Amino acid sequence: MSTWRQAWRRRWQGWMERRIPPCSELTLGHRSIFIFPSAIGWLYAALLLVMLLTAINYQNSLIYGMTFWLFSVGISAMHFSFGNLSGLTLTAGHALPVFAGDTIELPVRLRSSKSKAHQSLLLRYPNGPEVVADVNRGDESEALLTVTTQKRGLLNAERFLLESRYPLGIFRCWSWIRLRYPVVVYPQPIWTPFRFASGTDGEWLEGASIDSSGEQDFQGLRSYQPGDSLKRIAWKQYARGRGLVSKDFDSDEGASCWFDWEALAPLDTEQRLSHLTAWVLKAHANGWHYGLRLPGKTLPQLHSELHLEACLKALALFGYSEEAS
Amino acid sequence: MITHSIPRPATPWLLAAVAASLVLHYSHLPIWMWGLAVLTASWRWMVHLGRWSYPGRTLKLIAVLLAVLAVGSTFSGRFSLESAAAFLIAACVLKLLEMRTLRDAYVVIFMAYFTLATGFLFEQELLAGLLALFAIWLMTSALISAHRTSQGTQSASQVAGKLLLASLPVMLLLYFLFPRLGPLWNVRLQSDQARTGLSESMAPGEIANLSQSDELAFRVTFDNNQPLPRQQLYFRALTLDRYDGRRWSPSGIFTEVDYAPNAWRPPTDAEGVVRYEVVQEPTDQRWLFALRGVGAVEPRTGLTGDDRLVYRTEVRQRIRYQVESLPNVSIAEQGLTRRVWQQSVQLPGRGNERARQWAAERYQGDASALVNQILQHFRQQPYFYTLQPPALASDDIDGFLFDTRRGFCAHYAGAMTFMLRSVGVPARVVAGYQGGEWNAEAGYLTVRQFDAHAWVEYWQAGQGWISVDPTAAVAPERIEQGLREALAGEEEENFLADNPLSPHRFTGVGWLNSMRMQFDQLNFYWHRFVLSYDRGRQQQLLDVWIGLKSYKEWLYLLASGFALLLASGLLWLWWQQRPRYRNGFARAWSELQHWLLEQQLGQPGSTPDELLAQVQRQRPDCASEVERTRRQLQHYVYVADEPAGKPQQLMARQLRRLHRRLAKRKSSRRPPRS
Repeated sequence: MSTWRQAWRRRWQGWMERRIPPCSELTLGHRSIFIFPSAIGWLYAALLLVMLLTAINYQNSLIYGMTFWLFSVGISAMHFSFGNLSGLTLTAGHALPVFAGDTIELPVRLRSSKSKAHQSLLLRYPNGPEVVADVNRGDESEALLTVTTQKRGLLNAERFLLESRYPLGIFRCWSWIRLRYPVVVYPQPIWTPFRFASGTDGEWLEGASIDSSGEQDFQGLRSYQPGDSLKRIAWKQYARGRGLVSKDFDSDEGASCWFDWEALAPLDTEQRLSHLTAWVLKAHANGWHYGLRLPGKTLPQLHSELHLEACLKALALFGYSEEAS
Repeated sequence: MITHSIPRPATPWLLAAVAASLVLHYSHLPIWMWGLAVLTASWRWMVHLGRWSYPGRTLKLIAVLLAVLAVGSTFSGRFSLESAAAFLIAACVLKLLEMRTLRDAYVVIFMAYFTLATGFLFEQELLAGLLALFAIWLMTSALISAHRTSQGTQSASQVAGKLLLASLPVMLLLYFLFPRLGPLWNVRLQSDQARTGLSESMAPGEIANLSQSDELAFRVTFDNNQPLPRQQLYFRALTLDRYDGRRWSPSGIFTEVDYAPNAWRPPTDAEGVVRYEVVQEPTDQRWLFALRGVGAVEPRTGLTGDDRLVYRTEVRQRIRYQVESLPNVSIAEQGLTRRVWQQSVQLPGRGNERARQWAAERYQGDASALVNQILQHFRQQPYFYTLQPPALASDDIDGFLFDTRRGFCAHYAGAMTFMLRSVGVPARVVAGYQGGEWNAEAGYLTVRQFDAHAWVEYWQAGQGWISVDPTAAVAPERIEQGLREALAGEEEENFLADNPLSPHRFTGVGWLNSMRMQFDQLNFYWHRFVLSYDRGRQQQLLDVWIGLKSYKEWLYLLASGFALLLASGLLWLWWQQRPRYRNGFARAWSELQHWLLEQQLGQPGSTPDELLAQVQRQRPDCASEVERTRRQLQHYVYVADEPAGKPQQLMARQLRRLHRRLAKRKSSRRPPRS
């Protein structure tokens, strides 16, 4: 049963993939809009049928007229409903990276074309909350969709539903749209105590204690560098006329380290990546210079926002083809 | 979706829509129903304003029970059209008390639509049509406003107006072409309100009651657009040939009906044939209205033995029919059957002895002579034509003829028939309508209930049945001008006495009268062309306009019409969907790109430059060509300053050449590994 359902689902998705291919900008048209009477539409049809029977049985011209009018209003509503979606252009906005398991915000820009308004649009991911949007004639608006990310890598968002029952609610007009967001989902950080791989042989954080328990252990003195905190300046030494000297602590900003894939040897790939991610984040927060060694890729010891991003991206895309990045 | 709450701007529309659905029911709704509607609507309005809350369960239950009881007792448990409508309306207005979600709003609006539609069973006048138009617009606006998440630039009513207007053509098409079927089943809820109009039997004075009503009975147009003289406008509906001492009624001996086209018709070459068309209001009876010497033309109409036109079924809706009459034709001049003769001289054994004696003294074997004597008598003696004759107990014909001498048309007709029968002359009372109001501008005759009349027919050997109107002897104005003129003087205020505001009381006021005539004219067109459009009219229309004789042919036409519509729709879609390019370059590039992606020579979503690089990697055999194209493309996009002119053409040509090259080598090459 479930295999049959899965097979059907795959077929359906394949068909959708061909019919409305993923893209970063999509203008809705005949290929991408689906329309079908809603439950209320069937109720409306039932109403018309009852009215028609009344008209026939009482041979009443005015009830005939009203029935036919409401029927053709239904037909017009179908066109209005379709026209309400058709010509609407959806563009993927700029999304910010998140960690796997977090909720990512995906902005969808909605632009009207052909000087037509698009009203009462509902957008949502299959398991996400519903967002309401309206686009005035010749105008733009933005809907912020949220979706919970499942796994690391280049974001592969599902199709989201764009739906409208405007104007009468008797027709449901919808589309399943997959917009490409060039955004990376980082691995979920899972903390585990640091295991350093520093220098050529050691498990050491250079210039830091072995157990970086967070205690601020005094390491010694070094000459002042611009940017050192005033609290760390050894004022006594200064008073003795030895110039500006800074106290050096274990978690000092100047510390440097290597995070190595091999250091987490028995664990499986995803766990390793999660731990490495947590380490990178912690090291960045501590202000260390950190380097990352992954099979086939090594990132040098650096400390900067760009470096952090590069490390996280490398971890996120680990194992995926270069092409995809 | 459906459990969402109703958008705030929709509530006023919804309440207005429900209110509008009730207007057509004004004539029959009990007063408490209006109270209930006002109560529930105001309650819901207070909820909307946030001042009150929705009523609790118990309260709602009590309200429903009370409403059911009230409907039951108002209509004393009868199941009629009125009580069914009242139930529907009670449900609709009570639903307002729990109208919270969108689902409730749908239920309310759909009920309002249906309530409005059922209103047409009670009211069909032009004004009702206009009111319904407004109501439909309100309801559609309500439905739209329930689906709007923002106000937008157009109001809901504007959108509704557009929607309704856009739907008009299809509506008209369906209205005229949708097959009009006969009733699907015979058990129909009928209105329990009595119709105003002629009744089956007639006691003297009953026709006088009709004079209180200005309701429309029927309208007539004549083929030559000229009305007959008023003295000839005697529309027969019933013959009353049984007298029980008090009432005149039909004996029921003329049950056989010859239906068109097998019924008698006036010969086409006959002199004095009158061809006319009647649009008749429902009477709930089978009889139709026609002049003397009637022939059945219209399908479903037929002739009875007493020269009357009848319909196959009771006339419950307004109908329209063609008639031909030959008023001067002789009827049954050869003689009467025994049965008809006996029925036509039937009288109770005793009673009204003075009248019998009066007739016997004067009868010398010539019926016409006696008739003339009677008319003479009415003319010369102080007889009065009045709407309010004194009430008479037994022997009322004697009392009227010799004591009170005041009566309405039925008194004179009844008395005359009685006297003729008492001496053995076959005679009967005929009930129908006489006269009417001629609208010269539009050329039609309007006959109203107060034009109801009764006169006499007697039989004479060699001449057959002859009509005679005793009222004409007493009050010639009644025949020549109408009831109102006949009652001029002190009696005038009795005309339409129960109807003080009827415009027919004020025909003397010029502008009022002309306004009334104009409005009546509009209504006439409305009745004739809109309301009485039925199966027969439809067939005629199809016959005349499209030349179709049978329903089958017509169904074929309808089907092929729909097929054509569908095909043109598809064609239009295809035309809409065709790719449109800015110029030749855009077209060439789009085609090439599409082909490359189809052949999996490149990644979707790549820039042109990336795409060509990918092609170059995959197809080393065409590398130089691709490279050339790539250079030219870069030059074209970034350097060429006149993209519309020659470079554009050259670029397009190069793209097409590349396309050809890649496609040509493709066939002689192994498929790509990917």
